Amino acid sequence: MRRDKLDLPKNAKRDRPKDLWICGRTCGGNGGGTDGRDDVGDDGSGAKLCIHGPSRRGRCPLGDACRPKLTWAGKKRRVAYTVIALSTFTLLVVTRSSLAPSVFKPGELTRPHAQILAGKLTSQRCGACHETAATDPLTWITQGSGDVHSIGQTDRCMTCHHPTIDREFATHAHNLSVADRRQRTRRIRNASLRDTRSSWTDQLSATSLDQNSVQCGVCHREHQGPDGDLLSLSDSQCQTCHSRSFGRFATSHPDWNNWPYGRGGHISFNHATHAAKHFPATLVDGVASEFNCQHCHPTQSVSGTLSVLANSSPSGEVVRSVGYEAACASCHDEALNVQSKFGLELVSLPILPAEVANTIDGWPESATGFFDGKLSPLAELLIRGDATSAQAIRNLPEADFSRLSPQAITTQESAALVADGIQSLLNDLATQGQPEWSRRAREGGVSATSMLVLSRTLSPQFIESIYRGWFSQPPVNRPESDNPVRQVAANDDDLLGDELLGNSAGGGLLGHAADDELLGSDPLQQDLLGGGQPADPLAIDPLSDPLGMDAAEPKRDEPIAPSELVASGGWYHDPLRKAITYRSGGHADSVMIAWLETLAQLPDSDPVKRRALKTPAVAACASCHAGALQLGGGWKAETRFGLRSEFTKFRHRPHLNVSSLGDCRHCHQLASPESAEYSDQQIGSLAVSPASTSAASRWHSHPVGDFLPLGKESCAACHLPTAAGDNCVTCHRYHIDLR
Amino acid sequence: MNSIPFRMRRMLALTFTTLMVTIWFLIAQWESMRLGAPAFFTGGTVLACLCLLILIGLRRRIPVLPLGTVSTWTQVHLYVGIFTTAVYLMHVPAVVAGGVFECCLSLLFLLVSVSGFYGLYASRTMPKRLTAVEGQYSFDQIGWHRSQLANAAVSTIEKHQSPAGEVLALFFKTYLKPFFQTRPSLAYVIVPSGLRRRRLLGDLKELDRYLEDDGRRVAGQLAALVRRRDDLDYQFALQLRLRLWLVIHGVFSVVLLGASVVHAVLAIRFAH
Repeated sequence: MRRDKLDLPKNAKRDRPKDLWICGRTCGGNGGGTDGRDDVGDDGSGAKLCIHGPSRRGRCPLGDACRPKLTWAGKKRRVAYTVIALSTFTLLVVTRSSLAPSVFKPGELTRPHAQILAGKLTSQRCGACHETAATDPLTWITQGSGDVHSIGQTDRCMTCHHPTIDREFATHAHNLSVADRRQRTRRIRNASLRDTRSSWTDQLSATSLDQNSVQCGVCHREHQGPDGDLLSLSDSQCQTCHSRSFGRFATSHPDWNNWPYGRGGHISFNHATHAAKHFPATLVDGVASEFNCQHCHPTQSVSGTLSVLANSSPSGEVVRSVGYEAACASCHDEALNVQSKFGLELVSLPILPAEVANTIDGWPESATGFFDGKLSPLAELLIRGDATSAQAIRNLPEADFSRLSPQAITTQESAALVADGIQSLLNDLATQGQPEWSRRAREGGVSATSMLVLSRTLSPQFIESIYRGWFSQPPVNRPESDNPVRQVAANDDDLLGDELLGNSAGGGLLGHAADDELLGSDPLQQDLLGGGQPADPLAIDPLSDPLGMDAAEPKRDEPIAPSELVASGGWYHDPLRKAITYRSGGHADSVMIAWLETLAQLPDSDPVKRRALKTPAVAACASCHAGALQLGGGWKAETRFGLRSEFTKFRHRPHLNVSSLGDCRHCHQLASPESAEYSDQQIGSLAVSPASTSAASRWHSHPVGDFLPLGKESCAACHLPTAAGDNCVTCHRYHIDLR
Repeated sequence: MNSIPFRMRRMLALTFTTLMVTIWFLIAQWESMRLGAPAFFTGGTVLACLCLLILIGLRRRIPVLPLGTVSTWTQVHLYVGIFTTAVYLMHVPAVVAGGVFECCLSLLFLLVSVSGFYGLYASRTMPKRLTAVEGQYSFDQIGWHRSQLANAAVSTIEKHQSPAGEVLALFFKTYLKPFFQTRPSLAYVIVPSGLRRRRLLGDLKELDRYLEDDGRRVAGQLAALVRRRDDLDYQFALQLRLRLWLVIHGVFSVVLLGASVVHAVLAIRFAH
């Protein structure tokens, strides 16, 4: 390096790195003491100099001779103090102002929450979820973070989310009770073919959470921005509470067997036999009908022909089933109408021998002869509330009079009692009306509500006119029955017994013949006016034949069958059979629905139910609506979409976007008709053979063999980490709502 | 520690730091997997490390206590800083957090971290560059030296009085006087280079053809003054850079610590 020879003065100032001030005069020299002061020197020309520089406060010993300047250290200190003071001041001001919530929130809320809280004051928005936001910071410090009785954040979440999450189990794992979880765990372990013991890796990753105190915030992290995913959870997080965890879906997830089949349903339908047998056999203009899945299972956006009975679905989702008119009527309506022609029989008078008929007042002559006829299930249901009638019915083999043994001692008595019970039934229905329906229904073992539809459609006047026609006498309003109230069990046991309530022979607390003396005779049966009844001025209809044309009226053609008079459905009187019968109006007939719902209240072993299921109309209904014959069952194919009671969730809509999956049969492959028919027979026989002990099998919407099993490989082909995704939350639901 | 070679020491420290970062990452992942609160774990770690990092400032100001050498403290400060930055990225994977306050906090942390890494670079390169230039100047006296050089240049040109000296005087008035009497430009302070030095010296050299011997001698002196002034400016630029870095790093680290404490209090308060 070139060294320039420059004669430049050197600065003699002794400034130190920590000095805050430095001399402001651009001068040099050593200086010496003058005027007796150590800090004042002389530069040789007489000008005074400071030797040690300004003081720490920035004062020059020479007074106004020089203006000290801040050193870098001094400037740095000032800047540091200023910045720190400014920051602290800003923080304090913001903390105490209304800007605090918007400044201190750790991020924007997700869009659904932000929309809910958009209208509230900023200061209240934090408090909607954070309990501590409602308290002053000083109070929070002095009182602590809250006691065990304070409203936690989870409780605040439930303020809005309680419709979909049960409050009682909000903090329980899967929102299920401990007992429920244990039961499910046992069931899964018993059914599992794999070792369900935990491995060391599972134990290592096991959560430390109390599974009965899982707060919402553990999984759902807010303040991740408007597009943040509150549902984002890794597979390992999902499985941390499980004793066994799985790896990737394709390789580690256990396979399923019958899912999605075998989960129950309300309508019996065999896809395999319909596709392979019935549809090909049905020719329309010489062409076999096409078995098109979308005809019955359209997507809502496609179908414009959903009937009012069809289930609604979210837009684009596959409909569980369209209505009867769209799906079934074209093939089944005619047969159904034929089957339902003879729908429901209220009563039909049995044929009794003369010696028995004579014991019953007014028994028609046309109903006299050899034992014949059957006691209808409805009549049995309404009669069996009476103890003696019930006993008599038990003596009737299958409620069939023709099967009575004439030689048996109890035959005549039993037949008479049943016949009397039928007469009493009609009498009471004609005179008492609907209350009598309700009373007899309760005594028969069903709820009165289910009989309302029947009683509404069958007027007492109609019954009265039939009664008059059969028994040639009007029905009488009988006093309250002497027979005690009974609760009838399925096997017709008298739960209350005879000792307490007495019997028709007297004794007991209620049924005492002597009571009749207190009540006296029926005043309406007496001639109140005395002197016999005057002639009925309306006995002759003056308009019946004003011109005397009746005698000359030509004979009519063959009389129309009574059932044809109500071809669209209704009650009718069959004079030939001495029966009051209901003809069904076809599919979804309200009376038949009410009748089946009444039967659903009875156990399968009830004789009324067993015999009722043999009637053609009921059998026709039950062949498809087997589920309606059980309590809790239904008539319609309810959609499973959105059900929160299942751990697995599935939507067709996203899958239909894939062209290859647009064909339903890509996943839902039909089984062979032979295997499906065998299962179909088993299911069909259940309707008439209630001896089946498998409640689960009774509930199958279609036979287990209807479709081929849907294996995991069908899903795993697309649900890969790099494709459709294989996260747990893709197909599984955490929040279970059993309400 | 001085017995261990520098490279070995650096390797050991980096390995240990990497190991600790890995362990912390695994713990955080494990906590996350178990539905724990890894944010509290990583956040608490960052806060504790910030406190430890701040302590070096105290150590430098309390030399009397037997707390170890500043060199050792500096090494600890350096590797703890690297560790803290890694844990911060676990705490805030998005690097800059959402929300006004937390965004500012993130930016503060990044400012302090980046300045720290810059300081690591500067402390390794600046000394060599400073010692490569002739002269040792106290930063606070640079202004005085600058004024001395300007006075010397003025007196040099005033002493030279000749018809041919008008060329030099004109050149001095046009180019050298502004050079000597003004502070270096911001561009030069940010990126000091020899551009203006070479330009001025070249222009002076160009004047030789117009000067006599006396004039050339004066030109030579002026050239020497130009070189001295350029060296002074270079020292000023580098020293300013070092000092500014220290101010930024030191002052904002204090602000960062305070804001971190506020953030911790808020997190604990609103966690439940």
